[in-house]
Amino acid sequence: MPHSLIAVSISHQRAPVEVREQLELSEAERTAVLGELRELGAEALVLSTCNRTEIYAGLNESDSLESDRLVHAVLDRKRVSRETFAPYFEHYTASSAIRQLFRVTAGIDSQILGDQQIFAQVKEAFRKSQETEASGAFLGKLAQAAFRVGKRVISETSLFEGAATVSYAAVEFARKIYDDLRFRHVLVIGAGETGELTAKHFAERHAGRITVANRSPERARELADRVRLQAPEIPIETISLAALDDVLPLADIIVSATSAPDYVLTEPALKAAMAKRTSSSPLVMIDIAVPRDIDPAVGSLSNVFLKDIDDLRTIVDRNTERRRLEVPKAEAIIEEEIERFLSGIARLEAGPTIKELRDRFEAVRKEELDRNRHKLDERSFALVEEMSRRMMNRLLHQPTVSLKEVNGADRDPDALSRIALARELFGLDKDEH
Amino acid sequence: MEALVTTLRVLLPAVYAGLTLYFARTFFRTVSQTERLKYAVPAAYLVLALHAVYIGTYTAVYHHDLVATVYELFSLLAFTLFAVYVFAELRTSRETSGTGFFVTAVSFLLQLVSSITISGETIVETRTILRDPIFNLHVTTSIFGYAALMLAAIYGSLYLLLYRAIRRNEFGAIFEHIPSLERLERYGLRATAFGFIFLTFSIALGAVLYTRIPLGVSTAQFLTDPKVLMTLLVWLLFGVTLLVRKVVHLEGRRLVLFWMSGFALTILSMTIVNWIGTSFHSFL
Repeated sequence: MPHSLIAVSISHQRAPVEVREQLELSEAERTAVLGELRELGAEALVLSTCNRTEIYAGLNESDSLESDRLVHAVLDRKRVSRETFAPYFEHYTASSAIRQLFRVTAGIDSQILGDQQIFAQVKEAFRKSQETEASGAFLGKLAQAAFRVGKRVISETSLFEGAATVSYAAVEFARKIYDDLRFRHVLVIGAGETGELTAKHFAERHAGRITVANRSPERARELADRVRLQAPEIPIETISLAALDDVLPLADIIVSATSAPDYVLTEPALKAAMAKRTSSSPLVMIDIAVPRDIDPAVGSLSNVFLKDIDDLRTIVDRNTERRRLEVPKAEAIIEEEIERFLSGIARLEAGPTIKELRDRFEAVRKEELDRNRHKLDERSFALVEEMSRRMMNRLLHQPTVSLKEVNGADRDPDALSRIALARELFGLDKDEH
Repeated sequence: MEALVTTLRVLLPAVYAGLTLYFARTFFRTVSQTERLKYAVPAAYLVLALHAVYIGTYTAVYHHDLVATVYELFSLLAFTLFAVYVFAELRTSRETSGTGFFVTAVSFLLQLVSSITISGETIVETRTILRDPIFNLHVTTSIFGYAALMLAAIYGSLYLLLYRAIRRNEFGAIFEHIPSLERLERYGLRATAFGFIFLTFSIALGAVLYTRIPLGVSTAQFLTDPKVLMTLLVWLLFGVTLLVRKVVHLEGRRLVLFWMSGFALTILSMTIVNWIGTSFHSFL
């Protein structure tokens, strides 16, 4: 293999949140780390989220860069103690580094098993690497392979199916009653973290209208602004809790996630709201608060579906268990793709490529000679045979020289690209599965 | 040709059973989105093609459509029900089609009963009216109407099943694989509308037949025929369902209960009418 890969990772698997949050790299810091590694001659990929910070570095045979250097690049950038934080990092080399990237992309290394967001984050990390010219042909191939893993895991397994968080389960539950949210009015009570996540999930699912109610109208407005950034087309309004009674009859879905010690929605209030409703469609009520915000007696009202956090956890647990059963399938895909990637990389050596190229030309030459043999006498055939051989050699001379130069110029970032281009132009990978 | 009819008569329940098992597998077991119902559409087309060949060869061999007996009608109903489902839902929203298991199961049962009970004697006995094109159109539209209403009843039952599962916090296969309440209601209403339109045509064609063919019965006798009465009642009930939805804005469980009670009444009256008489109408 002309290139090797090393990687370091700090993630929820080994480091507590107070460590991870200190090492999350901002965009500027990621750019700086990429620049630093590029200067050292490596192709690099930096992935940094709230749950993990990882650096992948593709090295040439002659490079002596060690994984500790990658750890230091992060720690020095964050100005934290090497002694304290370095032990939290895990180190990977060669195929274990490839496996780590593939596992991360497939979502099986995520805190929430089958987290689909990480796929987009890996894509973004690769885009950043390209943008800063820290990626070359090797990393390009690696990223393509990682994306292929992600896509295959999505399409061939159930790893990403079903809600795996309470806030998402709330949306999924509501969609079991109303699958088209475009015509539905969602009322989110509480502007805390859970309320925000839920409002964002409903916005992602194109809710028709969202109303945010909160004790402090200011916080409700801030939340609404953040949701608007994500989904500017969805009408979002904010109200104070005092105005709740006016909105209740209009809502199709109510999610409550406040930290109030008492019920925010009582049975009499809901009864009154139900009486004012013009539609006989069901009212979906989801109580994600602890202690509960909605009087459980509301659940016995006709045409009302009320679920609390425990009910949603039942859905989440069931989905998580199902996802867990899909992990072996995802791992099998990863192993297949590692093998495929490694054999693809091996083919990117100049020697085998030159040989394959010459074999391809020779095969074409022989085929044409055989086809025309009966049209020529022996003397003419010998002449054509000799002429075609010379012609082939002359045509292949320059590409052969050019490819041979690659071998002796490993540091050239375009080297692998040149081999890859030659393989593509002459269809040398056509039998690749 | 006769051998082909006999072969298909045996084969059809088997292929419906196979398809029902395939849908059951995707319904009760965890399979990925892609794997789920991957072969459903081609398999459904194959079953429909086989059934169409059966109907065609049967008609060619015995010189009449499958409308001479109740058991022949069962086969036609199985075919129509499945065809309506394939073209109305499966083709367009394959991924949510947890309903396939229930529809194919009903089609399988209808075809099984038909295949077991159709005998050589009943199929050779034909009446002149059975060769009348308007009569055949009258029966065909009526079959399509009842198949659509049967489909509406399946959607209604699934709606009530899912409704109960949600109320009871049962988040199993029903919760996971059956489409949302909103969608089931929409499909059910669509099927009811189709059923109503077909029955309207069927009733109109029946009236044309009455004026065209001398049946030797008075208008009063014609209108009090149990099957005419039943069809009018069913037509009226489903018409009222559609009207009530528009006028009173009845939605959700109440609407489903309304149309399900209509269907229950249909089944009840159909059973009684078929029990009373062996023929289609008292005057035929």
